[in-house]
Amino acid sequence: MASSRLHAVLLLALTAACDGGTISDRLVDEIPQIDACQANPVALSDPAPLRRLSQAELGNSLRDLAAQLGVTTFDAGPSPFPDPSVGDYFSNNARQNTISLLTANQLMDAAERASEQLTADMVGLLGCAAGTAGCIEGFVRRYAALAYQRPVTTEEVATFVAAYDAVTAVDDVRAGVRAIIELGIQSPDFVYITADAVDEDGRLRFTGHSVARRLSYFLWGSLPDEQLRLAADADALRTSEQLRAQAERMLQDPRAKETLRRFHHEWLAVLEPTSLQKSAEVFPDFTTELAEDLRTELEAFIDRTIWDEEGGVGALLTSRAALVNSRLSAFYGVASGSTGPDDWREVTLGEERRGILTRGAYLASTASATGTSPVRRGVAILSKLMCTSLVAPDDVDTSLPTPAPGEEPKSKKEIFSAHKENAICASCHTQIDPLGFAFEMYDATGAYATSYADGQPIETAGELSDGRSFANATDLVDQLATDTDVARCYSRRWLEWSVGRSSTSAEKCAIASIATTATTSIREAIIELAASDLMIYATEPQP
Amino acid sequence: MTKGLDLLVRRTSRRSFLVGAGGVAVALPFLATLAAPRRATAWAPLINGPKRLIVMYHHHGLVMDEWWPKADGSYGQVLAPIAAAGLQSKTLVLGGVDHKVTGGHWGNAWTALTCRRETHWGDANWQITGAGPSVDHVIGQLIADGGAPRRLDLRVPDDPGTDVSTSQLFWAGAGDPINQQNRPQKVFDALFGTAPPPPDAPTVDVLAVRRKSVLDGVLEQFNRLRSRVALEDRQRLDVHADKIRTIETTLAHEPVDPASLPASCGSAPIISGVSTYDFERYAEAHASLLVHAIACGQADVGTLSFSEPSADKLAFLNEPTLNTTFERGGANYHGAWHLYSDQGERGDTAKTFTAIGAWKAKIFTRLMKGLQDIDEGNGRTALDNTMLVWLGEFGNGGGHAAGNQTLTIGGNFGNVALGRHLSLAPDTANPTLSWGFADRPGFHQLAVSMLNAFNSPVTTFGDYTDVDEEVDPGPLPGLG
Repeated sequence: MASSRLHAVLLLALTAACDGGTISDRLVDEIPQIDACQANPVALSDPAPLRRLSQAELGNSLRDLAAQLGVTTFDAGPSPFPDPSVGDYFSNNARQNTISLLTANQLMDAAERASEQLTADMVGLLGCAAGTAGCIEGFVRRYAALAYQRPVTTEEVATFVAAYDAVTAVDDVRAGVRAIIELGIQSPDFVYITADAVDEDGRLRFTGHSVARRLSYFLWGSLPDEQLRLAADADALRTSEQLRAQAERMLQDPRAKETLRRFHHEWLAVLEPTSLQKSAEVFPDFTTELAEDLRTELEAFIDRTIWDEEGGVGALLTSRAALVNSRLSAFYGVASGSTGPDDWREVTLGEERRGILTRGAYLASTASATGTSPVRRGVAILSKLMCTSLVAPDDVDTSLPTPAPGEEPKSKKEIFSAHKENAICASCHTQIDPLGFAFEMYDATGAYATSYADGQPIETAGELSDGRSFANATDLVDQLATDTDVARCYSRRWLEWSVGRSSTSAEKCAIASIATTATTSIREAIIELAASDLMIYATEPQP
Repeated sequence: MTKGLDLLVRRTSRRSFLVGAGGVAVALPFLATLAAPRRATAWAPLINGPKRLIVMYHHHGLVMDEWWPKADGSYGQVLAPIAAAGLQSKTLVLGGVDHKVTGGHWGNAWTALTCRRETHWGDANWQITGAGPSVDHVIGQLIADGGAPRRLDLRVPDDPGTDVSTSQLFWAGAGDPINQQNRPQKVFDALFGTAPPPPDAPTVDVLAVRRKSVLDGVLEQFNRLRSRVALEDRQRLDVHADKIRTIETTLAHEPVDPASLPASCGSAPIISGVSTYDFERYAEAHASLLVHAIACGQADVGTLSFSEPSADKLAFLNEPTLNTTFERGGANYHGAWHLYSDQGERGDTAKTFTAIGAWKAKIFTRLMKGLQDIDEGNGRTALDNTMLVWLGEFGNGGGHAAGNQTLTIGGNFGNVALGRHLSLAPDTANPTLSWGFADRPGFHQLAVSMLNAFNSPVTTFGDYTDVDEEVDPGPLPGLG
C-alpha cells in the first residue's frame, strides 16, 4: 500500500561518497599527519590555470583601475558576469568562470560605461593635449601597464594606437581615447588572471608581475596597487620574506577586510539578505530589515574575530562576542541597551550561542522558508567543516515519510529514523542527521527555541561517527573548534580561495601546515599562505 | 483572473518601435545574439516547414495521466488550456520517448538536447558541463547558414536573483553554455528600447567603427596571450575569442530598415507588473517577449525555462493543496515532487502538480496563441511557421525517471501531422505508466526528427555509444 511504501522512501540519501569509512578515516587519508610533511612542508602542484575574474573581482578591478588613473568618482555599474551560486564553490574558481556570447557582450557594455566616465576629464586623464607629439602613446603605455599590471610591449602599444587612429578617423579624440580604454578592459590580460612563469634552475617560477596579481586577487580581490607593482618591477617578489612583508601590508588595507567577509560568506553559503526570505505566515517577525541586521552582525563578527583580535579557528567557531542593535537584541534575547536599529552595541551572547555557526545569518541560510532542515544543516557541517564530499544519489526518492492512516504522529527525530532502516541511506545519514539535529535548537530564522511550535520537545543530542557524543549544537561546536581535521578543512578552503581552484592531493602537507597556524591565528595563516611557494612557483604546464 | 498582462498595443508609432528594435545603439550592447544580421542564407525550409524554433523546459515532470489525453482523444487537466484555446489541432502529444543518455538530476538536463554524455570537471555532482551543442543551437546555425544563431533565451527564476543564468539545457558547444535572461524588463529594454532615433543621425555609424576597432585589438591580444598558455587554457581563450568574433559580425550590419520588417511588428508588447519579481508575471511577460522576438524576425530560436519555485511563488494558482504538499515535501519543489514518486498515488499531491502543470500549459498556450495571432501571409500564421517543443527533466517527476518523457509539440513539426496523440513505445500500452527505461525511441531520434523538419538530412545526432540505454539512429519512428 502507498503509505508503507512512503515509509520506505528516504528523505535524502547521500550515498555515493559515504561508503568509504568514517569521516575521520577519510580525512586522515586525505590530509596526512604533519609529521610526515616536515621534510617538504609545501608539496607543490599548482596547475595555475588561467582564471577569469569573478563578478566581484571585475567590479573591484574596474574601481581600482579608475582610481589608479586618478578618477575617484566612478561607478562600475552592474557586473557583466553572472554571480555563481554561492555555496557550491568559490566564486573565483577557474573552471566554472566561462564566457558566453552574452557575457562577452555585457563586458563590452561595461567597458563602454567605464570609458565614458574615465574620459569625462580628458586633460586630467591624459595629462597632455591629445594633439601633442607622444601624448597618446604615452597615455597608452601608462594605461596599458595599469590594465595588464605589467610593462607592455611595443607591439601591444601599437595595437592600442591603431584602434585610436581608426576611431579618430571618423570620430573625435575622446572617442579614440575611449577605444583605448575599452580595448584594455576587454583584453584577456585584464579579464583573466594569467600565470606567466619562467624556468629557473629546472623549476618554473612565476614572474614578479604574475606573483603580484596572484597576491592581490587573493587578498584584495582586485588589481595590485602601486607598491606591489613597483615591487614586481624591481623583481622584489621572489622570496617568502618579501611576500610576507607585502601580505602583512596588504592585510592592513580595507580591501582585505572585504575579502575576509566574502570568503566566509561563500565558504558557508550565507545568503544575501534579499535572498533570505522566510514564510510570513510561519515567521511574521522575520523581516528584510532583520535579515540585513543579521548580515551586518555576521560581518562585524568576522571583522572583530579575525581582523581586530587576530583570532584562530577556535575563536571563529566559539566566540560569543556580537554587535547588535535593538532588533538583534530581541532576536538573540540579549540585553544591550540599544535604543534603536541604528544604535549598535557590543555584547556577549548567551550560553546558547557560539561563533559563526550559531549566528542567525548562517542558521537562516541553512533552513527553508518554513522550517529547519536537519539534513541541510548536517550536510553543511560535513562539507564545510569536515571537507567531506557528499553526492546526492540519483533514482532515490527523498520525500518525508508520512504516517499511515490511524497512526500516531511521530516526532521529527522518529520520522528521520527511517534513514537507519535502509543500509544505503544509513551509510550517510547516520553521520548527517545527528549533526543536523544538534542545530534544531535554532529555528529556520536562527532564533533560539526550546521546543517545536507544536510543543514537541527538541532532541539535540547525538554522536559523531567516531563515537564522541554531544548534547547540542554548542557542545558540538566546542568539539569542532578543537578538532584538527576542522582546522585543516578550513585551511584547505583558504588555499582553494588563494589560487582559484580546487586543492590537489599534493597540497595535503601545505594544508596541514597552514592549519597549525590557523588554530591560533587565521590572519597569520593567510600570511603564511601568501608567503608560501604556492604564490611563487608553478608546475610545468601541459604542452 | 486577469492581471492586465495580455498583449496590449503600446501607444507608440510603429516607427519608434522599429527603430528601437533594429537600432544598433539600442539593441546591440545587451543582446548581440538578437541583433545579428540574418545572412543571405542557403538554407531553405521544407515547403510549409518550420522556420523558427521555440523550446520550453521545466524541471521535474508532470502528472502523467493528467498530461496524457484520454481514450477519446480529449485532453486531461494538464493540457486543458491548449484545448480551451482551440489549439488541439495544432498540437502533437508524444508519449513513450526516453532520454537515453542519463537519468537523475545531475546530468539529465545537460544531456537531454546535446544527446551526449556530460563531462565532469570535478568530483562534486554539480561539477558537470555539456559535451556538445544542443539541437536548438544546431538548428539555429542551420537557419543562420552556419553563422551565429539568433536566439532569445529566457528563464523564469525562483528568486529575484540575478539578471542572467547559465543554462543547463542549452549549449553552443562542449563546455559552452548558453546564458538565459531572467528579467523581462531588461529584455524588453534591449528589444524595444526607448531612445528615439537622433534627428541628424550620422551616415557613418561611429559607434560600430569604434567597437570594431576595439575588438580587432582585443583579438590581437588574445592571439598574443594564447601563445603563452597551456592547451586547456588556450581552448578556453579560443571560446572567448570566438564570442568576440561573433560580436564583430553583428557590427557589420546596417540598422534595420523599418519597411523591411514584418507588419506584425507594429506594436511592442506591454509588460506590466515586472518591475519587481513575480514568478507568474515573469513567465507571462517572457512568453510575450518570445512571441514578439520571433514574430519580428529578431530571433530564430527561443527558449523558455522554468526554475523550481517555492510554494509562496505559486500562490497565484489558488490551489488549495499547494501549501500542504510543499510542507510535506520539506518546503521545496524538489521534495514536494518526491511525494509523487509512487505513480499510483492520487490525491492532494497529484492535484498540486496537476495545477502547476496546467499553468505551464497555459504559458505554452500563450506562446502558441500569440504566434497564431500573427498573420504571416499566404494564409499562414507565425504559429504555422514555428516549431514549439515542450519537454521536462523527467516524465514522472518524482522518480528521477529518464524514461518515458512528456513531449508536447506545437505549431509545425515538418511533415508530421499534428492534432493527435501518439505513444511511440511498442511495449508500453499506457505511456502514463512504465517510467523506467524500455524498448522505446530516445531523444537522439527526437533531435533527428527536429533537424529533419528543418530540412536537414541528418540521420544521427550526438553520441550513440556512451548511453545508458541503446538507441537507434534515424528519426522518431511511427510518426507517419
